[in-house]
Amino acid sequence: MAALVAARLTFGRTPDLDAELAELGWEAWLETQLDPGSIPDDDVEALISGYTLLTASNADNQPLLTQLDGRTRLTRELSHATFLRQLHSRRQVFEVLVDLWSNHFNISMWTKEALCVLKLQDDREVVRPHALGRFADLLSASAHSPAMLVYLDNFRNDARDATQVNQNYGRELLELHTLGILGGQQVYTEEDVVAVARVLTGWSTAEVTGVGTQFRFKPEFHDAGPASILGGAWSTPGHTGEAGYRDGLALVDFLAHHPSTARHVAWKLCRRLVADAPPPELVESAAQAYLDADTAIGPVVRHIVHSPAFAASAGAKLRRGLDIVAASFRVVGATVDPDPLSAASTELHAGNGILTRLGQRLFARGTPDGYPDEAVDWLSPDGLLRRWELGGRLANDGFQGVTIDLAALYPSPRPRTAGAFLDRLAPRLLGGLVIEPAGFADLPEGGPAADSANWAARAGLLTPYPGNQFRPRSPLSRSQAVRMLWVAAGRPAGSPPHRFTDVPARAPYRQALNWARAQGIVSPLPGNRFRPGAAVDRGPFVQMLWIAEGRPGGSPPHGFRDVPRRAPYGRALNWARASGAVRPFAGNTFRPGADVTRGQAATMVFRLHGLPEVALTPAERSRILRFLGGEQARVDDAFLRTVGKDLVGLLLSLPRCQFR
Amino acid sequence: MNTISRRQFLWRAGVGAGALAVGVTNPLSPTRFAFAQSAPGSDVLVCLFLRGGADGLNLVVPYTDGGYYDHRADGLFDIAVPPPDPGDVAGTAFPLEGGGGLQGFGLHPALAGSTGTGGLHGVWDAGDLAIVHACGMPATESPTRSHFEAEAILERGTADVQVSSGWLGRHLASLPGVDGGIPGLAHGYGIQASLRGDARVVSMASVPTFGVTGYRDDEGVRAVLRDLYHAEGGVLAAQNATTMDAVDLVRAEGPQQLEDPDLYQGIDARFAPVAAGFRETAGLIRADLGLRVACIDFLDWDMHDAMGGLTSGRLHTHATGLADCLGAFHRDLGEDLSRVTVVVVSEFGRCIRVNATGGTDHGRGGVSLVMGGNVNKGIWGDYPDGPLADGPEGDLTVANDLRAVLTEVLTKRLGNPFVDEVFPGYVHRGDLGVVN
Repeated sequence: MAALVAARLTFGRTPDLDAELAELGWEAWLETQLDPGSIPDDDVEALISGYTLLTASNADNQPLLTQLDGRTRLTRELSHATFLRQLHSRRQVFEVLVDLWSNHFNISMWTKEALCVLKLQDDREVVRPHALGRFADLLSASAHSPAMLVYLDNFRNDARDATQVNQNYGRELLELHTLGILGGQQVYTEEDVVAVARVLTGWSTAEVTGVGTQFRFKPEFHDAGPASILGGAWSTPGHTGEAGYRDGLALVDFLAHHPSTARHVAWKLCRRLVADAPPPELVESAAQAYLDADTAIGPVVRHIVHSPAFAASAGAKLRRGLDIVAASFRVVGATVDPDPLSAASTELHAGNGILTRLGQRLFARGTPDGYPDEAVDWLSPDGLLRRWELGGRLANDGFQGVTIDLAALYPSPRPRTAGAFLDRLAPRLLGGLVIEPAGFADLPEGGPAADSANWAARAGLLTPYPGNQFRPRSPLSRSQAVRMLWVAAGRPAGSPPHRFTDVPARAPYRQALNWARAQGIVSPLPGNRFRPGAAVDRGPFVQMLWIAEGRPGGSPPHGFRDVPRRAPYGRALNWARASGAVRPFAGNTFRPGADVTRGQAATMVFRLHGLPEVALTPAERSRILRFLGGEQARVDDAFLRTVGKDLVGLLLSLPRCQFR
Repeated sequence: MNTISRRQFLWRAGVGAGALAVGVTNPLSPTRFAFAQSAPGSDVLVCLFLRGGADGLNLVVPYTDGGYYDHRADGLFDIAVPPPDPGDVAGTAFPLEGGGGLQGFGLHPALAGSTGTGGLHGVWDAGDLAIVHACGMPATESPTRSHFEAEAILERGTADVQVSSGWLGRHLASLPGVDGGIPGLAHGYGIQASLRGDARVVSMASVPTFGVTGYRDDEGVRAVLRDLYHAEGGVLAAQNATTMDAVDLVRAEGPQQLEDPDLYQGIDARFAPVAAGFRETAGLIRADLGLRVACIDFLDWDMHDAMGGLTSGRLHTHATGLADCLGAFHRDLGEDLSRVTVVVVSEFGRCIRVNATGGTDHGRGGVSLVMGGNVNKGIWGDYPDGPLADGPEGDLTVANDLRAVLTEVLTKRLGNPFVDEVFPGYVHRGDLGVVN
C-alpha cells in the first residue's frame, strides 16, 4: 500500500521518501502531506530563490516581452521552478495537485504573448494558494485571473454594440472547469453557454501597458439583462454596476457547488489517482465527499486514497511524459542545474527538450483542456522510443547540466560479478525500498521474510529478543499485536484508559491498548481481562487489522476453502485478501485457527504499510545478464564506465517503470 | 488472434524471405510493397486535421452572398474578405473559376502562400483541388459545440461513446493486404483518435530520428528491451512489436534520404511540425513502405478573438501556413500525386457573425478540402440557398455530411468495400463527385 501511495501521490520514489513513508506509515504520511504548510521545504525554495520574475508583479515583468530573450526568461523561470519543485519538494502531494489544477485550468504560455507574464501570476496567486484548499476558491481565483481572462478572451468580452458576446471563457468554464461532459453526457445547453458568457461580460483586466495586468470588473462592458441557466436552477434579473459583478460571483459559486461539478472534479481526481476509467461508485462517493466538505479538496483526496478501489489499482496508470521524466530523475537522484537559463533547462523545456519530445512541455498545451491522462494518449511508438531514450541519456550524461552520482547509485562495496551487481542495483532503481539489514541471528538475510522482519523492527512495530533474535515462528501475543497495530497507525494518542484488570499499570504497551480498546480492536474477556500474553489466531488477527485500518468495505469474497461461511472475521478477510495483506496457503487455504506468528504478522502489516522490495523476474534477470556478458562477467572499472551506465538506463526503461 | 498471427506471418515473410511473392515487385529493393503502387483503389490518404474549428467562411468565401458581408462586419470589426478584384489580388478573394459544381466562391488571398509554390491558388489552377462547403458532421450526429467532443465524434466516426476505435483505424483494419510495413502513420508523438483500433499504426514525431538513441550500445539495449517488452504482454507488447518492426524498416530503407527539404524552406517556423509532417510523409510514400493512411495535425484554429484582416492577423498567418504546406507537398509529390489523396477536415466551422472581440465563436458547417491527382476540380455538394442568415443557431448549417466526402474517397480512391464498418449507422446517399 505504501508503494502505491508513493507511486500515485508523488512524482516518484526516492530513498528519502521511502524512509519517510517507512517511518510514518502511509496514512500518517498522507495526513502530513494534506497539510503542506506544516512541511518545511526550505531546500527547494533555496534552489529557486534567485528566480526574480516568478515573484515580480505583472507590470514589472511586462517590459520583458519586448526584450530579445524575455519570453524565454519568463517561461523558463516558471517551467524550471515547477520541475525542480516536482523533483525536490517534500510537499509531493501538493505538487501533484498543483500539476493537476494547472491542467484542469490549463493556460498555455505560448498562445498569446502576454501569457508569458500573466501565467506566472496565475501559478502564484491562483493554483498554488488553493491547490489543497476549497475548489470554490480555486475556481473563483481562476475566474479573476488575468491569465485566464486573456487566454480565453473574456478580458475583451464587451456587450456594448455587439450582437454576439465572446463565448470562449463561458463555454470552457462550463465544460472544462465545472459541470463537465462525462461519458458524452452534457447537462447544459448552448443557451446556457451564451447566458454564462453574458453574465461574465465585464470580467476583464485593467489596462496598464498594452494588455491588462490585474483583474478589473468593467461595468460598461457588462450585459445587465436577465439571465438564467440550467432551466432556472440559477438566474438573475440582471444588474448594472457592482451588482452586475456580484451576479458573476454568485454564478461562479453556484457552479462550484453544483453536483455535476462535484462529479467532474471527483472524476478528475480519481482518474489521476486511481485509473483511467475509475469505478463509477468511487466517483460518486468522492463527489459526495466534495459536497460534504464544502468543495474542500483534501478530504476528497483522503477519501479516494482510503478507498478499496485505490488499494486494488496497482499498476493501473501509465505514466505521462512528465511523470516518467520526473520519476526517472528522482529515482537516480539527478542533480539539475537550477539556473533557469542553463543548458539543463534547455534540455528539459525547449522546443526540442525531453519534455517536449515526450509530449508534455510544461505550460505549453495549446488547448484549454490540459494534457490528457489516459494510457491511450501516451502509449505510442514514438513515445516508446522517447521513453527508452530518456533512460539512456540520463545514465550516459546525455543531458547537459544534469548529473547523476553513479558512485552513490552503484552498489557498494562493488560486487565482483555482473549477477550480483544486477541484483543489488535493480531494487534501488525500480523503486524498491532498500531495507537496512537488522542482522537477526535467527533469520537468513535476503528472503522476503527478512525484509518484513527488518522493516517491522526498524519501524518499531516489533521488538527483537535478546541476542538479536526476531523469533519469526513464535506466536504473536495479544499485547504485541496491539502495540504493532498502534505503531502502524502512527501512534495515535489521547484515548481514554483501557481499564483492563490484568494489565500492569506501567505496561509499555498501555497507550497502544488504550487506543485499541477505544477503537474496538480488542474487547474485554470475562472479568474485564485482556490476557496480554495469550496468542492470537490468524482469523481474529485479520479482524484486528481490519478494524485498525478503518473497516474498509466493498471487497469481493475471499474464497478461502477452510474458512467457515459465517466466520465473524469474514468481511475482514475479504478485505485482507483483496488488499494483498494475506495470500493463500497451498490448496487455497487460510488456516484461520492457527496461531499467527510474529513473522506472519510482520509480513501482513508490511504488505499494507511497508514498501516491498521489487526484484527482477527470473526471465528479466537472465535476459539482462546476457546483455551484461553473463552471470559471472567481471565488474571492473571499464564495466562501470560503459555497460554499467547502459544498464542503469535499461533498468529505468523496463516495462514496469512505465506504470505508476 | 487469427488476424494478428496472419499479419505477423505475412510481415515476416515479406521482410525475411525477400523474394517471396508477398508484395515484392522490385528486386533491387526487396522490402517494397506492391500494394502501395498505383493500382486502382490503392491511394495513400493523407488526413490533415485543422484543430480548433477552422473558419470555412473566410477560407472559402461565398463572395456573391450579401448575407456574408452583412454578418462579418458589424461596425466594430470587419473581417469579411472582399469579392475578387484583379487589381487587388492581395486584398480580395481568389476567384475559384473553371471548376465544376458551385460557382461564386473564392479563396482567402493568404491561401496563395508565401514561399513561391502558389499555395492552394496554384493547386486549384493545376486542377488538383476539390472543395465541399457547408460540410461537417450533421447536428443529428454531433450536436455539441465542444471542441473536444466534436473532435472525438469526428475521429470516432460516430457519436457512440462505446466505440473505442477511429474511422481511419477501422478503414485500415477492414482493408485486405495492409499487413506489412507501415500502413498507418500518425505524425507526432501520439496516435490520433481517428487512427486508433486494431491496425498497425506508427507514430513518428521525426522520421530521421526514429530509433533508439541515448545509449553507448543502442542496438544491444534495443534488443534487450524488445525482448522484455515482448514478454510483458498486453498493450506494451503490442506497441513494442509495431515500433520495433517500424524501426527496422525505416532504418533499412532510410526514407529520410528521399525527403526534399528545399520545397519546405521558408514556411513559418510556427508551423514546422506541419511542414515536417508533409515532408516526411512524402519521403515515406516514395520509399514504398506500405503506407496507406497518414494523419497530420495543424493546431490552433480556434479564433474567438481578433481573427485579423486580409494581410495580417491570425487567420492570415494560419491560411498562409496551410497553403505553404499543401503547396509544397503538391509539388513534392510530382508524379506520385496520382496515388495520393489529401483530405483537410476540422471539427466544425465557425459562426457567421463576427463577435464582440473581432473573432468568431463555435459554429457548425465548415469547409473540407480534397487535394490529389485524381480529384475533380470544383466545388461540390450543396450550399444553403439565399443570403446567409444568422439563424437561431447563428451558423452555417451542415448541408453536406463530411462522411459523404470521406466515403467517396474511401471507396473510389482507397478501394474500401466495407464503408459501413468505417461509419457505423451512416447511410450513404450517393457520391458528391469530388474524386474520380
